[in-house]
Amino acid sequence: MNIIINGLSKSFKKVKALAEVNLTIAPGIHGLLGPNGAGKTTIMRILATILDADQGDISWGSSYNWKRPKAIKGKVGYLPQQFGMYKYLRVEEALKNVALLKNVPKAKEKEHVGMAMERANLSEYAKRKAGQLSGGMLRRLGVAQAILAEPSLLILDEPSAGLDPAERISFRKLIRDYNNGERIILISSHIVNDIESLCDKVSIMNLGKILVTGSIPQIQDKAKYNVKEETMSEPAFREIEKNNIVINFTPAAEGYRVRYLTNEKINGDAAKANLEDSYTFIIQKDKEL
Amino acid sequence: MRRFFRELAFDISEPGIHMMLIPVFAFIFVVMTYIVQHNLDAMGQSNLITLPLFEILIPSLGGYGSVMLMQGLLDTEGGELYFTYPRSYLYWGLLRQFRFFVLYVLLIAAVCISVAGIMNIDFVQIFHLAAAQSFAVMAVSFLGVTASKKVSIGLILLLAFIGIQITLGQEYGVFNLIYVMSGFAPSYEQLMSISLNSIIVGTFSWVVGQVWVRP
Repeated sequence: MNIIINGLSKSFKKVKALAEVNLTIAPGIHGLLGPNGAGKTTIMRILATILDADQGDISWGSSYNWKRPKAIKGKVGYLPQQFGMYKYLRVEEALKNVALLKNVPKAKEKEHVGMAMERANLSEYAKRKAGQLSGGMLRRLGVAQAILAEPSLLILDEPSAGLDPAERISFRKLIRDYNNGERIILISSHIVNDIESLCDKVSIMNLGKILVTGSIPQIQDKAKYNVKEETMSEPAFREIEKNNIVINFTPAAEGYRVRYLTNEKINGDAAKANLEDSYTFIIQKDKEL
Repeated sequence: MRRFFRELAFDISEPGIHMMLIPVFAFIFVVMTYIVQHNLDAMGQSNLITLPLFEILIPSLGGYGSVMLMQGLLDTEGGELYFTYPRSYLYWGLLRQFRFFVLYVLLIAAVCISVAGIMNIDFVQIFHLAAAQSFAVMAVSFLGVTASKKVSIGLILLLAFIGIQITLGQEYGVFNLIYVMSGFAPSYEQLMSISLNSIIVGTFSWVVGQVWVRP
C-alpha cells in the first residue's frame, strides 16, 4: 500500500514550511534529502501525527487517512531529530514502557522488547540508564523504541546524526534488515551517503517543495552532463571556486583533484554524477529560479 | 487494573529523582514535626510553626510532582514522540494528572496520620485541608507547565500562587483563596470555603491546562 500525499501545506506563522506537497511513498525505503529548513521534519511530523496540516490530504490504502489519526498511531514508529527521553529509566524499562504505550499485549512484551534491543544492538546495555548512554547508543535506543511492535510505517528523522562511522554502518544494516518490502521506511537526512546506500527512492526538497522524486539512478541522471573532475593548480582551483560549486577537493601531486559542477552542459568528459552531485545541482538550480 | 498500576509506576519512575524527592521531603517533614513538637511544646509555639509549614509544604510537593510529571512530555528534547503512541491527549494530560493526584492523596493521608498523631489534632480536618489545597496547587502547576511547555514556568506559577496567598493574602483576604496559616486547625466554615475555592480553581486549571496538552 502506498502513502499518497496530496496538496499538503503547512505554515508556522508567516513561514511556509510546506507548499502544496504531492508525493507518493511506496513500500521500501524512501529518503528525503534537503537543506535545513526544506520542510523534511515538518512532513515527517505530520506523518507521525504530531502536527496537523493546514491543507491537503494523506491516505494510506483505502483504510487509513490522516484525518483520523487515532488509527494511524498504532501503525507508526517515529524517531525524532532530537531524542532525549527516559533519562532516569534503564534501557529495558524504557522499552517496556514504550511497549505498554503501544498496546503490546503483556504476553508478547518480553519478546518485542528483546527483539528491539537485539536489532538495535542494545542487549548488553539493557540495565544501563538512558541518561548514561553515549550519543550513539541513545540514538540506538531511539531506533529501538521506533521499531518496537513492528510498525508498518517507520519514520526516522536524521537517524544517523551523531553516530560514529561504525555505528552508522550498523544502523544501515538495522534499517536494511527491517525493510521486508511491505513496510514503508521514510528517512530524512542531509548525509547523502546514508540515503544513497539505503534508499530505493529519494525525494529532494527545498523551501517546502518537493523538487524531484525518483530512484537513485534517476536522480543521478539529473546532473549527468554537469559534473567535472580534474587535477589543477591552486590558482586554477581558486578561479574555479569563484564561478562554480565545488563538491569535493583533495590534495594531489600537482595541486588539487577537484570535483565541481559546471554551469553549462559538458559533452564528452563529464564525470559520472553521484547522488551528492545531483542533489547539489538540483538545489542550486532551484535557488537560481 | 494491572495496566493502570504499570502505567502509574512508569509515570512515577520516568521523572526519576524529581519524583523520588517528594516522599523523602514528606518523611523529613514528619520527623521535623516530631522534633519540633517535643522540643518547643513547652513554649506553646509548635503549632504556629508546624501547621503553616504543613500547609505550604504538602501542596507544594504535589504541585512539584504535577509539573515533573509533564516534563518528559512537554519540556524534553523529543518529548513530542509520546504523542505518536496510540494514546489520547486526554490520557497525557488529565488522566495522568488525576491518577497522580489519587496516589498523592494516599501520601497526604500517611503524612496526616503521622502529624495528627504527633500533634494530637483531628486527622480528618488536616487531611481534608491538605487534600483540597493540594488539588488546587497541583492543578495550577499543571496549567503553568502546559500553557508554557516549560517546567520552569510551571514552578514559577506554583511559587507565585502559593507565595501571593501566604504573604499578600494575609493582609488582604481577597488574595487568599485556600490558606489558613493561623497555626490552628481550620474551623468547619474555613474548611468548606477552602474546599469550594479549591474545587473552582482546580477544576478551572485542569480544564484550561488540558487545552495545551498537545505537541
